[in-house]
Amino acid sequence: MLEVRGLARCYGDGMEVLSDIDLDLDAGQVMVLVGPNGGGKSTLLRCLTGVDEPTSGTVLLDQEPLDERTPETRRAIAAVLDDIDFFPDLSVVEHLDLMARAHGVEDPESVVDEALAELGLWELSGRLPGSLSSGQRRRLALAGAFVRPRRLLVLDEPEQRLDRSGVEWLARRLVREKKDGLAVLVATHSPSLQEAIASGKRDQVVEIGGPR
Amino acid sequence: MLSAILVNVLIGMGDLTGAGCLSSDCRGVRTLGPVVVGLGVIAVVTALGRLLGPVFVSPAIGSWLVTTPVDRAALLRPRVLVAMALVAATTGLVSAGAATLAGWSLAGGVLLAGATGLLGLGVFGLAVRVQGAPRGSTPRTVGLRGPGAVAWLLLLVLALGLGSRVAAPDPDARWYVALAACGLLALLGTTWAVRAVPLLHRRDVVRGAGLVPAVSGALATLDLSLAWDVVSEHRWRDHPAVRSRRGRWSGTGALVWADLARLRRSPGRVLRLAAAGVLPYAVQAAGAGRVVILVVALVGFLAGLPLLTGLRVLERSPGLVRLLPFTTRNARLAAMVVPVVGLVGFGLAMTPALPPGEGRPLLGLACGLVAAAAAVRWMTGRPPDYARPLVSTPAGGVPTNLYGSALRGFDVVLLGTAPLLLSPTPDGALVSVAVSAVVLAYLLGRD
Repeated sequence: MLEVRGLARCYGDGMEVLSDIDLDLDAGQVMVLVGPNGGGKSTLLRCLTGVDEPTSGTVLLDQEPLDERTPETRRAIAAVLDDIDFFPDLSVVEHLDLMARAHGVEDPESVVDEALAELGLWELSGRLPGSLSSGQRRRLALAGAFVRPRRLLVLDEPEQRLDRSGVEWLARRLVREKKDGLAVLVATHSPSLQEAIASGKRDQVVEIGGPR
Repeated sequence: MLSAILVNVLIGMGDLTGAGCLSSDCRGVRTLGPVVVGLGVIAVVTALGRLLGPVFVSPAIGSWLVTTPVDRAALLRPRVLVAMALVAATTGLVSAGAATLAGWSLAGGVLLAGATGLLGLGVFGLAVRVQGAPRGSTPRTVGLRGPGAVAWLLLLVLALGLGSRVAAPDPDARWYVALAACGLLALLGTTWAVRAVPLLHRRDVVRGAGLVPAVSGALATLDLSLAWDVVSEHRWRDHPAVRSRRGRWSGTGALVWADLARLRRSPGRVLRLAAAGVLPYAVQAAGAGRVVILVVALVGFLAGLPLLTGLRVLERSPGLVRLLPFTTRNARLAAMVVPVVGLVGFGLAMTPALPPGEGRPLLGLACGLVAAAAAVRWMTGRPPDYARPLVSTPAGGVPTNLYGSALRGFDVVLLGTAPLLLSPTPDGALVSVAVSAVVLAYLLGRD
């Protein structure tokens, strides 16, 4: 599904953050990116979702060059990166409802209700994003990715700001995603999350930005 | 010296206004106009004060207010009194300027400046008193919103053509009674404010503290859209929960429905747009001729901005747009539907105020579209780009697109209304519609 060949990313001053990255990710597979802060995990995810442009190399989604501007790519990839933002005047449930309906989900109300219950957002459903804690905002962003159809789920340090039970739930949920035939790409610093989701034979743990 | 030049210019312009203002309606505008301006300034200053507190301290001071055994009242009271003096001075000076411009006598101008200054003091004092109780009682709300409401009613009087019945601004005994009443209100307001300061909680005085540096930062780069974002987020933070409503439509229709839900949630946006419609009618009643076209487009543009909240969030948040299964262009288009329809409706409602002639509804439509295009341009404005070549200035390197930021939206108003001002005919309207369509198409399609 996702093929990366020779990907490199340099910044203007010649600093090379990523070099010669090759990756393959198929449906029903989990890939976990690990590595130190500043190693380039987030940059790689940004390049793979089309948010950032690689300096060189190719990123193919279903054998086609990835272009995040196309509706097809946006339908296929559900990404929760570090640039989370919400409408200040729409409540939690209205955000999820908007996301589900925009993607043409059948019976959006039940899908949204299920996500609210699963992520512990039910009692916050009428709250506006500005009044949520950072952890609750993270849950809302994750819920937005789960109420919509997707083939590739991309998460950048999703355990950040989640409590312990939240991380355990996330691990179970990502395993379920994998079993449902979705591709999952996660950058994380949590060994427990890594162990829980990348336990299958086909799963991969890729070190990014090791000691140079 | 600059002040003297300014006063001379105002007096000269006032004489010119007086010489050219012979109709009874125009005289009505000369009488009521300065009063409307004075009350409007009070309304604006009070609204700004309420947004910030009006009593507030910086985050640094707020951090040690809790733990340090200082007399908060001693710290805050001088700030409050200085702010109140500034409000009174600003209101009085602007009213005096408006009175001079309208050709009022010196005595009338001084009386008006004194009355509005004192009234401003009283209303601001009330704002300080209710700071700890955001959801005030009806008398408080009336007190805070009263000046704005009276200004609007006076505009309505002019719009209905009743300005001719208003007497010339010649001071008599009633004026002194009004001045005394305003003085009493000022005394009350000052007493309220001084007594309320020791009762303020820390949460009350730090609530608006973060707003000042954030808005200052946005304004330093003339990024007005960012300042809008900051204020908008701040205002919605006061409403932790709302009564949620599920959507109705799917695809891009979901974004359109979200805009409709916003209007239902805060109908004040539509009401304010509708209320602003009284201004073009008042200007038309004063015999302003083609200038009404410009006023309709400007009022629609400025009063219509709150309708574009959804578009603004999509524009500033690429991460949010990426989650939607549409191209950015289609997402923008969907977020424009409700505001553009609303502003075109506003333009059509202004048709009777536009210069008489063939195809007046088309002029209204064109004015509405100009307002919509200007509002979209304002809301989709890009921040200053420091990667561009910088212009060397005494203040340091400045991006070339910074200065244009302040004119954003107003440029489209001028561009779109130019054909209408030159030729208020169906042909001029069609050219204006074409200009607005080109602007909207460009704003829709750009990366």
